[in-house]
Amino acid sequence: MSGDAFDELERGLRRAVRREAGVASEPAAAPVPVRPRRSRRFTRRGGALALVAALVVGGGALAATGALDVGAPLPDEPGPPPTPHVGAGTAQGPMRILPLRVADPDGGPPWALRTFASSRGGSCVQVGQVLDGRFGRVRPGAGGRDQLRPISATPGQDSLCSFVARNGYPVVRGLRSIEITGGVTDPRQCGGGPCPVTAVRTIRYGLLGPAARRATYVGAGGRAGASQTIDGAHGGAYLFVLRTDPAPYAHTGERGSHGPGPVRDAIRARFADGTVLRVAGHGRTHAALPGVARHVAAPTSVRAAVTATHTGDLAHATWTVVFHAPVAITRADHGYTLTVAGHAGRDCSLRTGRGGGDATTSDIARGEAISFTIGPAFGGGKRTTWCPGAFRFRIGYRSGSGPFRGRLVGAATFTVPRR
Amino acid sequence: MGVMDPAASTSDDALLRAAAAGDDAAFALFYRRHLDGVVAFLRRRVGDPELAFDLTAETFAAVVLAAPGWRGEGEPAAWLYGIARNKLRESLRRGRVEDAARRRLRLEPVDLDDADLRRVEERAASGAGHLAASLAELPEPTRRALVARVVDEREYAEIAAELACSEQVVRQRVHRGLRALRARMEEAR
Repeated sequence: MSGDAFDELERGLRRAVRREAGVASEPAAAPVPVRPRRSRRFTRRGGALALVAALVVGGGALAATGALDVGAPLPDEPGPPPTPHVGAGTAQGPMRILPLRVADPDGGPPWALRTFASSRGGSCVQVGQVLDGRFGRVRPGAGGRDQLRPISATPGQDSLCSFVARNGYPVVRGLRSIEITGGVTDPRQCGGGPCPVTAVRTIRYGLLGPAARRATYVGAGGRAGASQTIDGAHGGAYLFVLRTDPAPYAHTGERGSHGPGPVRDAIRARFADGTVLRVAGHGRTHAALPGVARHVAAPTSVRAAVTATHTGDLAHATWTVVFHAPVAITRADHGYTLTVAGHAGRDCSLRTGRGGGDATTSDIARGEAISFTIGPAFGGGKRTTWCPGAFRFRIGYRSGSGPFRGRLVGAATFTVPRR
Repeated sequence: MGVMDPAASTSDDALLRAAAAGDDAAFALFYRRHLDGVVAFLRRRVGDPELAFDLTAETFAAVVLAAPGWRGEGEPAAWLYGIARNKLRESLRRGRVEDAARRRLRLEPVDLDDADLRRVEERAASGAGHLAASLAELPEPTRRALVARVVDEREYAEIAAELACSEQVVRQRVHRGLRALRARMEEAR
C-alpha cells in the first residue's frame, strides 16, 4: 500500500465511517495498511540509484564511517531542467551552509542546513551532511562505497522553499524526514536480498526567525528531550538528528505495514519575548511566530481591460481571454488567475466554475499580453458544450498567500442562449 | 486548465447519506471531490502547509461525525466549508489545531514529510476553484458579496462599486452569507 498523506488520511476516515455506522470491516482490510514512509535516502533519487545498483556487489555494512570521501554529485531528479523564470525557478546568489552542526548518531559526517534564494522569490532550505566543506548526503558511490555525494541547490528538489523570509533566511516552522541505512530501498543486495536495516535517523529541522532562542525536541508522551540554543542571527535555525529504533523498519526498510506507527513527537521553541510555542509536530500551533509578522506590499491598482474572443458557435466555443499585465510577475507565489462563473456540471446544475480555472506559472513583464484559453469542459472535464446561461471570466491578481482568485484585474461576460 | 473530478453523477447529498449508513466508498468519493477545495480554503488562511493538512484532516473527521445528522437542508458544500471555517476559528481561538473529531474517531495522526508538504501546496493550488463552488450555492447577491469580501478580501467600497449598491447593502449581504454558512455547521461536538 502506498500513497501520500492524503491517501493515508482517506484510509483512516473510511475505517472510521464503517466503525461509526457499526459496519464490519472488509475482510481484506486486515491488517490495516499503513502508508510506507518515503526515505529521503534512497527513494528520492531512485532513478540515479538504480544505475548505481548495477555496479554494486553485496555488502551489509552501510553505516557511515570515518573513511568517507566526497564522491560525484548526485544527479537531479528526472524531469525537465529547471529554468529561472518558470515554476519554482533556479537557485540564485550564494548558498549558505549555516554554522549549526549536529553530530550524526551513527558516526557519519555532521548534519547541517543549507539555505539559498530562488530566482522566483523563494527562500529555500535543505538538510544534509558536511564533509570537507561539501554539502550532500551519504550514498553509494564509486564501487558501491558509501560517499558524501554533493546535492544540488535546486528549488523544490531535496529542498523546501518558503516565501516568508527574514534577514535573507527562510522561515520554516518544521520539517521532518527519516534517513534509513539499509533495507529494501537501498539498491545494494545482501545474499540476493535486501540488506538489513542498520540505522534509522529521525531528522527535524526548521528556521524560526531572528527572535527564536531555544528549541526542544519533545518525544512521544510529551517528554522533553534534546534541547539546543538557537542563533537568531542565522535564521533561528534548529536541527535535531535522533537515532531511531530500526526494528520497526526491518521488513520494509521504511515505514510500512510493520512500520513504527504514528509519530507524536514535536518541537517546542522559546522566543526572545518569552513566548513558548509548539512550532512543529504533534499538537503544533499555528500562532504567528514572534518577530515574523508578514508584510505584503500590494500594488495600488491591478485593473486592466479584459477581452474575450471565441472560435466556433457559442455552444461549442473555445474562448481566448486576453489582457495586458498591469503588474509584473517575478515571484513563484504571485501570478494571474482565471476563474469562470456560470452554469456547469453534468446537468448544468452547478452555478460556478468548480475546478475551472487557470493560473500563470512564470515571470511576466508589465504590459505583456497574457492569454488564457478555455473550453466548455472547464467545469466538469467531460462537457463538450457550454451550458445555457451567463458566464463571467474573471482575471485575478494573486500575491503571496492570498486567495487564489486574488484581486480583480478585470472580467468579461457572455451568454449562451438556450438551445 | 484546471479540471474537476468527473465523478459528478452522484450528488453530495446522496454521498453523505450513504456515508452515514457506513458506505465508506461513498465517503471516499465525497472526500476526493472536495479535498482540494478544502485544502485551498485552509491553506490560504494559515501560514503553513502542515497546519493546513491538520485542519483538513480535522474538517473531514468532523464530517464523518456529523454525517448521520445530515438532513439534506442546504447545500452540502456550504455545510462542509462551514465546518472547515469553524475548525479554523476554533483553532485560532485555542492557539492550536483542534483535534477533537480525530480523537473521537480514534484516528492516528498522519506524519508529514517534505513530499507531503509539497503535495499540500499542489492541492491548494489545484483546488482553489472549489471554494467558489461551495459558496456558489448561496443566493447570487449574497454569494457575490461574500466571495468578494471574505474570499477575495476586498474593500467594501470596491465591492459596492462593482455590484452597484451601497456599502451598507454589501455589509448586510456578507453578514447574511456568513450567517447562512454558520447555520449549516451541524458538526457533532
